[in-house]
Amino acid sequence: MIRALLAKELRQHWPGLLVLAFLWLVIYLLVALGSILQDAMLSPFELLGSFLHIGAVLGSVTLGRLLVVSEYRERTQLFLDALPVSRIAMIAVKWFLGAAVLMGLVLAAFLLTTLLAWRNESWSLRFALFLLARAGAACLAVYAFFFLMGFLGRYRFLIYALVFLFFFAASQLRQFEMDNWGPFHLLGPTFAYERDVFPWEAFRITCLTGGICIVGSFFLGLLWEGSLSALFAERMSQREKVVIALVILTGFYGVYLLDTRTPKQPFDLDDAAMARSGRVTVKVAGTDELSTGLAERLAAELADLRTYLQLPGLPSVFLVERGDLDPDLYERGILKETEGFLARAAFRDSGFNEERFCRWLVGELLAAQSHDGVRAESCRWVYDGFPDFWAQRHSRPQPMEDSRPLIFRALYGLPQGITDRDLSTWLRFRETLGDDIAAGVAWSGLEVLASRQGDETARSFVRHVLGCHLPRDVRAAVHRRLHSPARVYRNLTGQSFDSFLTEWNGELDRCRGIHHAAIESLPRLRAEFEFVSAPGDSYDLNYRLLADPPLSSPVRYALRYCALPPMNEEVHPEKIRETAHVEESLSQHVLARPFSKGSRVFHTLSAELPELECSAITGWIRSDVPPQP
Amino acid sequence: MLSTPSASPQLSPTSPQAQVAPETIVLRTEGLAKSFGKVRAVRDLSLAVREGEIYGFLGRNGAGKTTTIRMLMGILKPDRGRLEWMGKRVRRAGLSMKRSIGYVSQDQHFYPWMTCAGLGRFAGGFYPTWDPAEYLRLLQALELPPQRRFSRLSGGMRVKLALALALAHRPRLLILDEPTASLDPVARREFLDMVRSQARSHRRTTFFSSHRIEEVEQAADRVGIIQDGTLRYQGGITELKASVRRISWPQPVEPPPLPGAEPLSRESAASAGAMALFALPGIEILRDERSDGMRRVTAQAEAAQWESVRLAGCEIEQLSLEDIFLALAGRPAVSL
Repeated sequence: MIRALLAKELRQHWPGLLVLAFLWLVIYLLVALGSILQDAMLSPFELLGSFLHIGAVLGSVTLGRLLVVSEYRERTQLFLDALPVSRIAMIAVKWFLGAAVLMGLVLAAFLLTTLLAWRNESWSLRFALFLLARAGAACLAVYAFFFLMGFLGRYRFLIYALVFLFFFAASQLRQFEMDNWGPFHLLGPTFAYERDVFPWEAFRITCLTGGICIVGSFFLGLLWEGSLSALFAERMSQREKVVIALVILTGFYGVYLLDTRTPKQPFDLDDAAMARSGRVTVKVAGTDELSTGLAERLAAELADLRTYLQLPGLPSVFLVERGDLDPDLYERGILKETEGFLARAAFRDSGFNEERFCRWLVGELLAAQSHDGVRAESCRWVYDGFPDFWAQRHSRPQPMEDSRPLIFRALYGLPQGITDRDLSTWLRFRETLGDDIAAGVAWSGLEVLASRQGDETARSFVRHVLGCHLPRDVRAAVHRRLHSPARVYRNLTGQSFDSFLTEWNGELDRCRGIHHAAIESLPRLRAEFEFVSAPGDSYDLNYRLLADPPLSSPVRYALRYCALPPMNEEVHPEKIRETAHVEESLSQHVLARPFSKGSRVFHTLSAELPELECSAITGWIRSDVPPQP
Repeated sequence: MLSTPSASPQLSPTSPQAQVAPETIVLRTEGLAKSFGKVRAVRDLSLAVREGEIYGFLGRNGAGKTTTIRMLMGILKPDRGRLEWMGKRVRRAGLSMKRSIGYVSQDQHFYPWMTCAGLGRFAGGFYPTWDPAEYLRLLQALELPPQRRFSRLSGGMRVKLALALALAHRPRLLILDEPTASLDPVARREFLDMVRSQARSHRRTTFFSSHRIEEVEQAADRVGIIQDGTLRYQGGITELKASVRRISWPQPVEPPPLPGAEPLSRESAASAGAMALFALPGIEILRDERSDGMRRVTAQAEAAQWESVRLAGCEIEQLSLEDIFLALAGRPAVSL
């Protein structure tokens, strides 16, 4: 009877088992090749441990599907039910056959690894038993889990998702380290090196988990004469699919929300100068005078900002030195497990501009505080203009035309004046002008608001648009919709936003009249780009900068570019690369680095205009390679 | 005039003790019951299958035939009741009992990748009495190509293959669960001929469920009629036919009063006449219909009793098995 069942299983599944063995070999070789190429593997048994992470799951999923899912889905278990064979025997034969196949594969991988390690590794029977026990127990537990899942038929994918969600939630919310748990620990970093102490605790947990899964398999297989498993094996209806998708999405979203609301440990910086002002804390790496002074000034500035925008709080700011960055480039560090705002800058460099850094910091803090909500396109112009507007607060009321170079940037960027369309499609608008000039344009709007409606109205305006601490869910989108700049303006002033645009353009026209000659003399930039086919199905980029009137020599300009991601999302400044040129007269260049066919490139040419104290660009372009006709 | 015999009829359709002669009982159930949640699929089912007979198990779709058979096969565990196999009481059909039973299910769920011969080799591993030569002979007799895969067999061939698999270990009892439901008339006739010849030549006890009356009438020695999970009749077909009559009379005229009874007034004659008919000792009214100005009562009583019944102005007719089945299984019996 058992022999007949075994023979049937082998006759039925031998192609699948052969494919599984072949896949194991291929994956083993790929893992080995990867470790050789990366030169990261110290012991061949580390390779075995890494491989078994993939191999155990692949083997168990395959065996569970072959032995259990296919039987119930084809309803052939009804044939077995009618034969003089007990269901227990039927399930047991399947379980032991799958376990034997998996253990055979584990043994084969172990022997192969032993061959690789024979000459280089010190060897003992005790160590071999350690390895075999750890690998065997972990793989059997994983197999027992997927064997159990086979009895859940169409719901097994839901359980996979829920198990994944459970571990994800545990690691996110409770700092549960999966690598230290049961089977994962057995195959973890100590797998290849622990020769003296056997991890009994992890072994016990693994055996217990496997045992529970085995009992669960038999329970499900025998419950109600096996009819429950037969019921689960039927195909999923459309309604079930929708419900399960909703359950999974809701689960992940719930964990995400819980994660964002779970208080994290505050980040800290040792050997740093600390300054507190109001409820703002700033720490700057180093304990010297430079660090102390910078920390105090930043703290005072941010406390002022908090009061101005009536923010409930600002994260503690930590500034660390990063000497390899250009002094005018700053970087925001990512803190996953801790709370705080980490910035990196070359603040000890002589070219470091504290005022510029402060403007950057204000923008980044507002973005962090709103979970990037203030970077939404609907209010982006206010966000872009605010750092300069904030930096100028002490010099107000100063006639706008005297605020150079900001007014020059605004006039240079707006030869025809501002329109409602420019503001509503601000991201595209700022791509045609460049960040600095777009910020100048936005600053001019806030200045007009302050000069016409008063400082207090301007303050309320930016506070409503930028100063809200919003939750990271749909309420943020609703809030942004209800607090668009146009709506806020109407609510504060009782006037239409169009009237504000008229005032803004009127003020710009007035300033243009004053600075007409200077603005007209500024060179307008154009660029010529051409993608040229290069060997190996790739393309070079030929480019030339044109300026009218010509740029004063020596001309400093640069090609700025990056490969575009699949979606048309905003490109992060840190991803942009630059090829700089300093020339007496403009000439054509070829970008040495070729682009592959089918890629998309985001590119522009930028040149420094001393009158604007910033770079002007020819406008960002998104190009297909090769360009579409 | 309707006359009644002196003794009340000994009619106990669901009592196997009353029906079964002292021949060997291969399989007996007593008070078998099975529910699926709130649905009571089989309730208090008692039947007996005699050695060597073909037992026709008749019932409408959903009457409880397949559930009963699955309990007999040990595939389902009864909630209540007892099972007796070859005179021995068993809790449920165990391995040894299943080894003595050949089973053809309603739908065949064999492995599609297996050939006819391969299926025989596989199934043979579970039966000590498996006869490979007999299996091959059956394949040949049923015109089944041994090397053809199950997935490439037609519906009729699949049922024949199931029959070959059920017979090759020479079972003491062959259980067929509506095997001809999906067959065309020719294939059905061939299949039934095969079952009949097996039953007659090897004196093989056959338990044969169907909702096709003509099949059962042709093949069965005795029938059990199941309705709503309850056995409504068990016994020979001839006896069944002899025990059931349909009495028809025009409405509103009621049958005249019974002999010896007090004369009835015209007003009460109709109801009293009907009551007199219904009050016959041991009679069971299976169906009571009124249509086209006629009243038709289908009733069951002992065959001898009908011979002495005389009804002036009423038509008494003997029914076919199909009409009797409709009366028994068509709708619930009239309760008096």
